[in-house]
Amino acid sequence: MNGEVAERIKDLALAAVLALVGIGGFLFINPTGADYSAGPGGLTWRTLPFIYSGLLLFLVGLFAASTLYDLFLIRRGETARSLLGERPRVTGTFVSDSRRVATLVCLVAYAAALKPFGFAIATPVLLFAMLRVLGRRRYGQNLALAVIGGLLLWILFVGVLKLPMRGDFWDPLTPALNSLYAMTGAR
Amino acid sequence: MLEGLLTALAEIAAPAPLFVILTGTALGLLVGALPGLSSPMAIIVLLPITYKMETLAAFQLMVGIYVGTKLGGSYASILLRTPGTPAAACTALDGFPMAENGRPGEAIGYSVMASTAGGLVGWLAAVSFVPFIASVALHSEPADIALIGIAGLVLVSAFVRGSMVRGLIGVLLGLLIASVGFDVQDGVERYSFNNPMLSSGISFAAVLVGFFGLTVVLADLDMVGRSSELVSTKLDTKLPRFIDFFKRWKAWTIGTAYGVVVGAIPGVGADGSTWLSYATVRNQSKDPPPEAFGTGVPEGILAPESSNNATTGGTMIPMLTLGIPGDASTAIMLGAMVLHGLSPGVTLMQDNAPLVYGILAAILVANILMFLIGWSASRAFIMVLRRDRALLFPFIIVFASIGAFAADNDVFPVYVAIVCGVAGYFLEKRGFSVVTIVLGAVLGPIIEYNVRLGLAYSAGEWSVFTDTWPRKVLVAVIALLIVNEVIRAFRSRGETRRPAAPEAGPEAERKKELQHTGRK
Repeated sequence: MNGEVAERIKDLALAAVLALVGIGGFLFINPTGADYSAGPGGLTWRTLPFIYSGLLLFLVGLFAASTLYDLFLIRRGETARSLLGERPRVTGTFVSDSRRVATLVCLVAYAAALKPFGFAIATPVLLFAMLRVLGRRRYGQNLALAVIGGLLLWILFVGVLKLPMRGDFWDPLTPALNSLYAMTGAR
Repeated sequence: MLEGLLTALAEIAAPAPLFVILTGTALGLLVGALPGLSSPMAIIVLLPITYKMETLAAFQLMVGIYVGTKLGGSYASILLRTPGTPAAACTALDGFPMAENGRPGEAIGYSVMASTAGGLVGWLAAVSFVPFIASVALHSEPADIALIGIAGLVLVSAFVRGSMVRGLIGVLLGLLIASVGFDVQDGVERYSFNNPMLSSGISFAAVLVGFFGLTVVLADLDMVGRSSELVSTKLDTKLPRFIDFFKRWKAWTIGTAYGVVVGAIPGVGADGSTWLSYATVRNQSKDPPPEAFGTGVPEGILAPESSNNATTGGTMIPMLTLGIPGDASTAIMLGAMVLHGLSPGVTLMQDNAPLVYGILAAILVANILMFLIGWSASRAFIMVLRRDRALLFPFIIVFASIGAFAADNDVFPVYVAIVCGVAGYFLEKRGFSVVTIVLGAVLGPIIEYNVRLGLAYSAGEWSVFTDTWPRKVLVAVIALLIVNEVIRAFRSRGETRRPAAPEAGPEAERKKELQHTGRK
């Protein structure tokens, strides 16, 4: 399968996902089973979201039709020039794609760790993991960067900006850092 | 009007506001200098800090960043031929050859002068037009406000890269995001899946962080580990003599005019205006001749750089008067207004005049500070070009995550931001612009509220949207843009039958390559 065809197939896959969003716009609007009688202007709370969903489905249909037309032209050996404007150039390598997946895993793990373990523990771990994911191989330097960077960020967010970022489950660091921070007289 | 502006300027002359704007401008220069990072990303990174700041100080910081990135972007264009920001891509056409010819300091000097001139004229335009347009807009009724919002979204869709269909799909996704949670008029939950975290709607901070922060990080991972060799190590800024600058007045006045006008058109932003001004100046130029452009002529730097910075004033005009952003950075500022409890739109000037004048005053001060930093301390900012992005991204991710977390002091918005970031990455990769989604999410509640209110006032008569001349004009503009797109699509269909025209030479290739490099 040549690159041009592969790109169009990816476009069609995206169109399918967007169509699902449009259909979801009709199906999931009323989770509480509320009444939908019209208000003073004749519209209800679901009129405009329904219009948005309908228009989205229509436009996604156009997008899919245009992509199929491109595929038809490619098959006939003609130049496919999308009806929907110039196509972007797509770049990316295997290395950066695997980094993307690893970055996402780190992000989700960080979000999951923030509440139970607190900012003070989760952040240096994330920084260390991300430095490794992004290809820095000096472990000692990465560790120092993660710990010092994490500490500076803690001072900024928790010390100065007073964001409530203490862990719920296991966070021995935040009370210790709070005490140290109080001893400096900054609080 | 003058009184309000003078008061704002007097208040800004205190040490604290000056420090905030200086910090923002310096950060903007720093971020702008790094290819791949631009002002939306910098503003998003600082979002958690702005929550705790006074509203005006938060916006002064954002304005400083916004102005600073415009100049910072040119450093990488001139010294690396890799634009620091999309808007600086055009500067590389002549800036890089000039640096290659052993005049990097002069190239940066022309960039500093043009950026300052463009920024100051853009500020003058904003100061002149904002109070006037705001006073006219104040007489708007709900139907006008709804139509202005819809016209803004259609305009953005028409001018973003890609096509209008892609733009409109993005806008509709944004409108659906804005529909999640309690409906403001009837108080009914929509799309909440009975999840209490969704009952009050999707956190706006999470949407901004996801689409403008995490999307960019995911896209820019390609750039990690690439070494950056500067074309020259002689990096001291050499400002041109005033006579050399003024004898090239045509280049920077055309650039500035394009910047102000194009900047005021929602969605086009600086990217479009720089290329337009460069092409105009080159085509009209007699000395140097058009063929000399691309070899390192000062006019090739003056036109795009003045245009680039003039857009900062231009984009403020629709943002401060109508609540319609001119580009991604002003879209985030609009979002930040919502996060700070303000109502962006036609009533902003009436309800928060000191804030509007404070923002306008900050643009002026930021431009002056940008000139001073660019003149005296460019070297320090240029050194960051040699730094590896691997050090920066982990910290950006922490700032972005905390930006989402701090809005509700909960991790749910962080998950929402991750989903938005991944969705934004895939959509951007397939030619959709995340700006349209964010604009839909910003303007969605305003449009829905005013459409329903307008219809309620007219007892359900839809003719309320065409019963005055301004409304007829707005509807005509919307219709014209859509018809134009349909015609363009049919013409494009005709062209597919013909053999593809060869790309017009090495310059077209270079332009495409630069636009692509600077896209992020």
